[in-house]
Amino acid sequence: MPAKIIDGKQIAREIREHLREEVRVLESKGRVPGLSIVALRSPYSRVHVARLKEKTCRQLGIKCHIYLLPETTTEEEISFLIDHLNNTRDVHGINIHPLPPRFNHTLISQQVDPRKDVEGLHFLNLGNFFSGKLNMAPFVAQGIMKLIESTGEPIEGKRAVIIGRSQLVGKPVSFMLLENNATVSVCHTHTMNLEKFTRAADILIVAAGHPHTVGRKMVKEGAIVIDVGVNQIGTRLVGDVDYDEVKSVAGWITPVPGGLGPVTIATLLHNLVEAAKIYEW
Amino acid sequence: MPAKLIKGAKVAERIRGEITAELNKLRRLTGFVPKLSVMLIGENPASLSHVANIEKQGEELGFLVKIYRLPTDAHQKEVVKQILKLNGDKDTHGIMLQLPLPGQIDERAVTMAMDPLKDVEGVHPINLGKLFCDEEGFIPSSAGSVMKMIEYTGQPILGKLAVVVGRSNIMGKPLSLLLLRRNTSVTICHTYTGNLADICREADILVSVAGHPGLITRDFVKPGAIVIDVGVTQIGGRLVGDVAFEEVRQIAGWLSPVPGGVGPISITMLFGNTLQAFKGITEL
Repeated sequence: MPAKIIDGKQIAREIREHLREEVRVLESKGRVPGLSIVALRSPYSRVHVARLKEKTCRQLGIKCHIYLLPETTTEEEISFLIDHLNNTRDVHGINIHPLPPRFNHTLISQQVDPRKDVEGLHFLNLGNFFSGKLNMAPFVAQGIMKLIESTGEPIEGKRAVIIGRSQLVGKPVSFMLLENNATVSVCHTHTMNLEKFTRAADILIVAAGHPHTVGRKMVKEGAIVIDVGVNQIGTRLVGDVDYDEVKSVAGWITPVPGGLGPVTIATLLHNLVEAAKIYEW
Repeated sequence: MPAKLIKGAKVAERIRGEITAELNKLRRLTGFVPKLSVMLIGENPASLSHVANIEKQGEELGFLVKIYRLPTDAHQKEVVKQILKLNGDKDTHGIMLQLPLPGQIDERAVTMAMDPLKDVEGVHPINLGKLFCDEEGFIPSSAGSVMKMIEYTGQPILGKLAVVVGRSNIMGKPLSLLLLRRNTSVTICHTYTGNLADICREADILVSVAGHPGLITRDFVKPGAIVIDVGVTQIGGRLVGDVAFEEVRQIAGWLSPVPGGVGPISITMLFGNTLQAFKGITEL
């Protein structure tokens, strides 16, 4: 029996419906959530995703502004803008889009006021997350959990295997799965015998950043497979998982596109609404 | 061939040698002596004895150690005030808060008051966040101690499989992050893990922090593996680890005993962190 498809668009729709209600309540108190997106005119910054976020915000009644900076922008200029946004009253959240490799994203994230850190990447928020406090948890990892939860399958006692150990995905997801009582393995480029891990996984999360990382032979029958990868091949977007192959053995699988992507926009805005609920500027 | 023993005292001795060498160099350079300020609230006998050990070891190493005592019924505000004072004290390089705290004191609020640059125990969320991001900060000394024990074996660990039994905030989680930083694959197990023996038997490095005496028997261990026993349970005045020592000793490559494993290293690591704080604050 082929895998059931985890429909990220539908899950995102459900989260958005819930958010729209929350925004309405905030609005009635005169507090319209405001998001500022900082992006560079660079392929790294994925400006089209920023546009998508802007559109979603508009639908939900959230104020959104994209600061689209020239590709030659310096770190000082970004710092200056972040400082300005930290001190702007109607901004509840700051989202810094991926920057070209000449920037240290981790250090730039530290300049964001932790109360406006809707990405959940400030040391203070990560430190609280580490100790099990889940407000302002890293938003991509939250999206992955939503996808897993949507299957309705129990997580407790299951074996979860994560390929990738980034601070955005691998590490936070492993902690969230631990909170849900899964046994968790984290694999990466230095892992020997990767197949042995993945074949044992009831829940397999692939954030390797390379297409064809996981094929049919690497997946346990009936497993939940979450594909975090987004790779552009020609004009086509593909994930890290060989979708057509794995579909015939997995129990559940996310498509790329249409899997994680839409959900992470919703979980980012979830963090924003939470921030707007707590902090009055 | 029975396992080689990883004796905490030996590991600590090696680290102390490194600390002393560096400390002497810095003292010659700056003329200053690093100082650890310890906050001790109440009269808990175990805390008193632990703090006395810290004081003793600090003096032996050439650090200044000062104990700031407050009564058991101290008010939250007094504790925070003392912490803030130590934050501002230019002679204090490291601050340690002895736990447990009396019930009326909010541990989190007190921790948050601490200057992260003086948080030599690595408990402030900023330092935990740095640990998470592989940025330089203070590493919780108990998890750091386990890493030192693994290093002590001299075995290459890159690409090896580490299995950690236990997922606590003070040990299981930070240790997993440190192991990942060193490029091992990591599996974290706990009470909900099924077939624990099968998972553990795959491990090149097995660390048990379960607090469950005798949990790790011979059939949990891969021949030649490094086995670190951090579970400490008190049974009738005796300290017992998670590992069934005699039988595992026959199969493991390296094994840490209980008592005499991690315990002696943690205090030494605390001074290693104080030295790091000193270097940070004096910008050396």
